[in-house]
Amino acid sequence: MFFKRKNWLSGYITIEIKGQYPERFFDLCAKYDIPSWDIKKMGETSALGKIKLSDLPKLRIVKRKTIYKVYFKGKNGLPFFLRHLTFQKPLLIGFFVATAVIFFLSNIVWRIDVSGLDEEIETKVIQQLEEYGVEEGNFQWNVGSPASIQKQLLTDVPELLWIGVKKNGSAFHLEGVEKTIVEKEEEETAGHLVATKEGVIEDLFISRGQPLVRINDVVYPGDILVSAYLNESEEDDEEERNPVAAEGEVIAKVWYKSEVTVPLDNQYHVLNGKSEQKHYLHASKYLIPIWNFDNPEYKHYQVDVEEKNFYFLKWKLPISYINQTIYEAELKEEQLSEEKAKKIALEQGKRQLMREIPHDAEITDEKVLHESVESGKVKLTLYYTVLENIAKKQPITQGD
Amino acid sequence: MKKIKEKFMTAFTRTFDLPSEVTLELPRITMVGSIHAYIENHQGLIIFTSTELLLKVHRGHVRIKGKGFVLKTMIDKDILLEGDIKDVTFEQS
Repeated sequence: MFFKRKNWLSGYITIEIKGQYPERFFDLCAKYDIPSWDIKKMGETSALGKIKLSDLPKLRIVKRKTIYKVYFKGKNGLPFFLRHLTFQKPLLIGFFVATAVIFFLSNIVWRIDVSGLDEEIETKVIQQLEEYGVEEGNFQWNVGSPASIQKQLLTDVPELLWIGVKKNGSAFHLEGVEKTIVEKEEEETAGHLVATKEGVIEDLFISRGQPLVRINDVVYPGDILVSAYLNESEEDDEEERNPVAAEGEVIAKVWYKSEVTVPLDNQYHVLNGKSEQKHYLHASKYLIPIWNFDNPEYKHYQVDVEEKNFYFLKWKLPISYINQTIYEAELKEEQLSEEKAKKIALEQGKRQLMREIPHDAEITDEKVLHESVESGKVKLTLYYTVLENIAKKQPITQGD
Repeated sequence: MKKIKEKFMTAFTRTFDLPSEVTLELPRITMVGSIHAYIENHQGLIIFTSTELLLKVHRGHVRIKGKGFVLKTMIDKDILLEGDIKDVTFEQS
């Protein structure tokens, strides 16, 4: 009937009642709120019936009030089935072994695809991958995350411009783009040389073109320094003139102004090399420590977390392994003297400038325009004179 | 006294069109062909064999005869009988 399934889950027992008019026992059961079913009369003095396992204590009470004899004939349902299973050791062991095997196989790297690369670089990438442990047959938990592999590959294989590492279940897909070294074509398009920055011309090295400026001229960004038209002043007929690609270097004095502030008290954390590893199992929102239970007594620390997932077939298990590394940090406080802060500010200003100017430029002069100490900070306004090439090619648009 | 009460209840049930099995404590027997009989509101099982079922009901007995009887469910006041039903009789007492 409708509740049979439910009864199977909670378990039911078949009982045999012996005595005069055994059916009346079931009637009594019904009165005591013990539902029974499949009642069959087996003979004059015996009847079979089924009751729920959970009603067994109530049945005992009912039985004590009667003279009927109750025999247990059969046990069915999930509770009995499970109990029965525990006696079947080989079956149970087999089941666990099979699950374990599937679990291990699910966590093995099965395939590595590399696409978009030359054979030569591909083998190089694969070799590099093997070094990281990414090879067919290795366990996935020995392998770093795709993002870290990607990063490592990019630094270790210089031929790669970009590589995408994607993990798809038990397979790694790598898609690479090579750096193609393009032979720089000599750009022979005609053009002027124009100034990129404001400055005073210091030196001119022109290999082609007509210089329009002289040493000590002040130029502004966009000014034509070297013209593509030769002999401009002599020929007026513009149609006749052939523009050339102006080439050369125009060294100019360029000034930079920058403001640097340096705080007088510095506070910073320094890792002192001491670290502790902690291992956890992570299940939904619970962290279960499995190794190294005590917390290190670090006053200041920094924590690195590495998480590794487990797979069963293609499903990610809700359990993961977490490796925490706790580094001890030391808080360093430093009180700088104004002298020292100024020195640091000067260095910092220079570093900033170096980032802005081309590397063949030369800093010729450095001046402190303004210096002040305000609310624990040293503020410097610096002024630099730099010699650098300010010429830039500007092609002449044709056919206009 | 009892008869007056009974008469009153019958009249009461008729006037207000109430289900009689509720007000008069009568059994309700639902049958599916001749294979199932669902008896509600009985007052006790007296005899059950594979060929006969005798139930006590209000003012009398119900006797069901047939073959291969099995009580499919038995909950407090309800009985579901399965088998080959031949005959249902009311015995007034």
